[in-house]
Amino acid sequence: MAGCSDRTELDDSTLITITGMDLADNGKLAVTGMVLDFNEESPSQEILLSSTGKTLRENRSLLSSKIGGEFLSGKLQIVIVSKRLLKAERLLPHLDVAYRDPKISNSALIVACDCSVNKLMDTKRSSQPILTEYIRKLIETGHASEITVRSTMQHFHYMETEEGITSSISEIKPVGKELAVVGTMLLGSDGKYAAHLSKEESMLLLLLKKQFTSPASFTTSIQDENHNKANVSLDINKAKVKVKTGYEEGNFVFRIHLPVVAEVVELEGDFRVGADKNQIEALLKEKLEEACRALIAKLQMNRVDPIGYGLHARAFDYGHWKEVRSDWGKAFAEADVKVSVTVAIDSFGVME
Amino acid sequence: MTDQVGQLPTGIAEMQAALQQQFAGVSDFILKTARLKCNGQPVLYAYLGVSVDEDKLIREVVQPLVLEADDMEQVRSLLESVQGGQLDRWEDILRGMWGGNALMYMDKEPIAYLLDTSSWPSPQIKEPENESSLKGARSGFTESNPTNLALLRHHLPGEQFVQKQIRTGPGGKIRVTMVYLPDKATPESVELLLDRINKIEVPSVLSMGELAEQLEDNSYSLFPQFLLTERPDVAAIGIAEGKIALLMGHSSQVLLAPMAFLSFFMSVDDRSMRWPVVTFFRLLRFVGLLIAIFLPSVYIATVSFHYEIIPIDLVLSVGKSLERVPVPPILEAFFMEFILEMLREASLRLPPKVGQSVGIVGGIVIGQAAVEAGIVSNVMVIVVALTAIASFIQPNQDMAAAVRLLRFPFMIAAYLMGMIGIVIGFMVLVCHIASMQSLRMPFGSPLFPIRLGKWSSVLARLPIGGFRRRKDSER
Amino acid sequence: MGAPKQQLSHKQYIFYIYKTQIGIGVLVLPNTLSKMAGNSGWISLLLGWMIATAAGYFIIQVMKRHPGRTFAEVLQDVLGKWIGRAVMTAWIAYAAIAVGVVLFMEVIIIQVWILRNMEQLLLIAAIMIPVFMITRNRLQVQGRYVEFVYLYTLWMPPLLFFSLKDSHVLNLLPIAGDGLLPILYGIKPTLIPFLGFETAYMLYPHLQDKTKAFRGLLIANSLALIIFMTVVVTSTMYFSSEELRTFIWPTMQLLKTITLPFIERFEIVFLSYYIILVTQTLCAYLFFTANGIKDLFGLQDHAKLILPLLVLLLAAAAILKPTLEGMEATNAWYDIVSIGMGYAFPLLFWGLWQARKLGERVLR
Repeated sequence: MAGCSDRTELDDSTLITITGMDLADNGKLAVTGMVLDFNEESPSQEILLSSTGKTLRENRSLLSSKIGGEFLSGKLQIVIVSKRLLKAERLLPHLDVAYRDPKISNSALIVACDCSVNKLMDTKRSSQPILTEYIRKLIETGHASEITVRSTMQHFHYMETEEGITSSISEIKPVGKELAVVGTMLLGSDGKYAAHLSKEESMLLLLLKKQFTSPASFTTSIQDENHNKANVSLDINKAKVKVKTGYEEGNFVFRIHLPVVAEVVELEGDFRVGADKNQIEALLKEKLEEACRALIAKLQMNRVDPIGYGLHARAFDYGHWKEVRSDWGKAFAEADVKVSVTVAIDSFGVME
Repeated sequence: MTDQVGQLPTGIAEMQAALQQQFAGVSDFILKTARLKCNGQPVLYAYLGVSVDEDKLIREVVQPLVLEADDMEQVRSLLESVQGGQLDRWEDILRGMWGGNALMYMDKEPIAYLLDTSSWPSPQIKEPENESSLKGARSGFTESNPTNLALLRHHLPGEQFVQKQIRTGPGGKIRVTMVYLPDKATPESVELLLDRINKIEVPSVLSMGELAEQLEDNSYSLFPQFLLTERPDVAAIGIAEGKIALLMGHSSQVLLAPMAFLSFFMSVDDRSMRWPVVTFFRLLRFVGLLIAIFLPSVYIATVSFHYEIIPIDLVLSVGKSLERVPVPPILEAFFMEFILEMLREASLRLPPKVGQSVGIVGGIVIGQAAVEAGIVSNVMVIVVALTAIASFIQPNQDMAAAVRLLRFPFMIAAYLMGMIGIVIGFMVLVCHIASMQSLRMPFGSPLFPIRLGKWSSVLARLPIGGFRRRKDSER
Repeated sequence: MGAPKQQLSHKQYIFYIYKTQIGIGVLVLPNTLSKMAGNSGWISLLLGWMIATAAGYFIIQVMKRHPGRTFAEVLQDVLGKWIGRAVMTAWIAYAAIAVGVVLFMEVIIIQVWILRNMEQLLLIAAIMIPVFMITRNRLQVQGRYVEFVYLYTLWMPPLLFFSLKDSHVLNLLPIAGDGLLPILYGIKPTLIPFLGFETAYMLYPHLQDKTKAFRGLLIANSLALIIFMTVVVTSTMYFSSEELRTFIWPTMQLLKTITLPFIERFEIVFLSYYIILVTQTLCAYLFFTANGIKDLFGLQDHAKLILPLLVLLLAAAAILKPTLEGMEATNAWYDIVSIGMGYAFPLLFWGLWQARKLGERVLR
């Protein structure tokens, strides 16, 4: 039966869980792979392999020649890409082999790193869950606490192929002996690196993308009556995003209205909670609007639209959309985006 | 006297000689003669001592004949009142005597009387051991037909059921009693069953299971098509629902027909326990059924073909566990399943005290040593153990055995084609059940054909008589 | 002549047609549809449903007037003995090829998605086992099997809703942004998956309740529409338009992202289980073929024909060695044939039948 079947006993196979991609100095693709180690005697549970070749597929062959067992990528969990590669080349064509093969999971996470991939994957960590799990948890919890986006291979493919949206992927970095999420990386319409969003900006991005899981925390400082700076932290529990799309004077106009219901979890300064509620709300509204505007200005400056206003443009003004669809990043940069926020505070906690 | 078939010897002396020759090697053969009070005519009575109630024979027949009866009329009526038959054929007489009757023969009469004085050892009514229940009846069928009939009547008080005695087989040696309620059972089924009983061609049937095999619709099928039970309450419920029961004098099991696939997954306790509890138990049994059939094959398919579907946390531990084992999962599974079946079979035949030690040996050998030696993997032990438990919770032993056997073809299918093989096997199984019949009734009902209305009564159990609240208890 | 033993209840009739319609078509529909109609394919789908229902109406209209006659006999009644037989032969050939096309396509999909190196003939032979076991039975047992298929695959369509959390409702807008023409072009790909209702020609004489024949067909078509609509709408919302055009089997791609706590990569389980649905399509057309031959030559039983037909099919597979590329070329012309048989023929036949009736009345 051996000839006519694709039985692959689990213990005879080599499962790759992380694929790291970097730009080698000679312009080739440097690939780092993490494979699961089923050998009971070995102390580590995964093995690091690396190679350099023209394409991902060629590298796969090189990697598989370094280890026994049938090389399988069906359990690929994470794809790590270095900033250096993203600056130089488009990522999507590199991943073509993975999308073409139905065996490969398209729920693997795509992660960018602001260092060499080899260094990141070789980091000697103090705690010892396997790296795959570690990075996955990092991204999942990072996404749950609104400091980065969570992009799977499928999401990434969608964002790259959809004209009205540009890609955003999570970004990590080694910090000492550990890894840490540092925010979100934005790719432009050309699929190359465009901008970096900090954790705070990422939160706003998720809010505008309607991808946040409550509560989302937002910290800012406002001025009290005595003009003293007072730090205030919000937990945003509910938020809606209403977008009105228009077209004026050759540019798209987006009016974004963001009603936010939040809970104040930290409030320094001289405020009386009952009487000053409206004042605090007004101050917070201002701060939030300011932050959103800054974010959008940054996006427009870099000609990226990770939120997907292009979808709105296409849905509600198809005629004009057709004129700009080939370069939506540019059109978005010229668009007029107005943000208005309302803040309703539903709780100040258990203190007056 | 084989050459005398059909003919009775005439004259008491010839009769005596013939009988003595016929029963020459039978140690408990007893032959006596006496004279009638009325006319001094000699009579002969003969019987097999073990199977005849001698007291009854002397007290009710011989004494009155010899001491009381004044004329031949009285003699005849007396004989007719206890007779098992008036016979003039030699082979009938022999069969009657072997069957526990006493023979009475009067000189110069063309016929002999068979006197129904049989007394078989009547076993005590005991609790059915192989079909235990928590709350059901404590009495089980015995190996005596009258007792069994009495038990049935006891469980169905006041019901007027039809009770047919049927002799069948070549020579009519097979005696079957058919019991059903005429207003509940479908006449076609009764007729069909009767017809099939009459067409039995084997000379003798020892157990109910053998009889069932002669009567079933698909003899090549793995599944039992009739229910065999030792419990009078189960039989009574079946009869009350319109099923036909078959009894055999020497079998402590009663056959119920026609049956549907799903009714094999019910137990008597289902009626006497709270309905939500029962519903949960039924669910458990159906889940158990799925596990018992599919779990080993799904496991084999997963580790041999579809490693992708195992969550990443599990892949590592399953992989490590498999790494030490040199044989492919299918062999591992077969090995374990065979050992388990052997253990089960062993503990079945051994006396209970030895049986326990089998369990200990099996538990230690399979549970620990085999894993430590690297012959089987941990995961496989869990899989096989789960499968075994799932097949043990099935209430019907015949069905449980069928289910246990079914998983082997599924394992092979999984080894050849993975999940695809399992699904193909599943389709074959469903098609088989859908096309099966029990007394020409669809065996798969109410699953196929779907009768959603009946599902509530099969899959779940709702309160008997519907939901209600007693008004009189409210004050 | 309509054998009284082979009776199909109303429910079984509905499921029979409905489950015949759900086959390979659903897996590729979003792709073929969006190539033509973009994101407004769902409108084309609605139009396709109307056309399919209309075709079904013509089928029932003709069969209704010839109660107790099989399809082969009706054809001969209306068209004359020889033309009728010729047309029947065409139908038998059509159904036989349908069995082959569906079977080969199914095997290829399995090879692509699950068992890449599995010997093709082995797979085909394995799938034929249940097909053989089901089809050789009476229609009544087949009806039971269809009920099973319906009930045990109920859990599958809701899985599509897993994709909703990553979907973009805005993808559905604008409605008919590129005008009506693409939508009209889009009707053609929607007609293919609806095929299966034409088995009503064969089923009609075996129905228990013939008065509800059209209603049953309408219900079956509508059930199929619900599934197709769900598939088309969810995948339009989930994928970008470029993805829809490049993924050959968007429905599978959609399922790929389903991850349960204990099972990842749910599409493997799904596709394996999906064979049950495709088997029904196979059985329906195989029965159509065998029963057609039986009626045409006045044989007693269709069961004896099943095995030779399957052996022929296996031989065809061994000779042709179907590949994905080859099957796509075959599909291209076979789609046209099946639209002719499934949609044009009922209308034409009904027209002829009307004309004949009119002619008879004039003559009288």
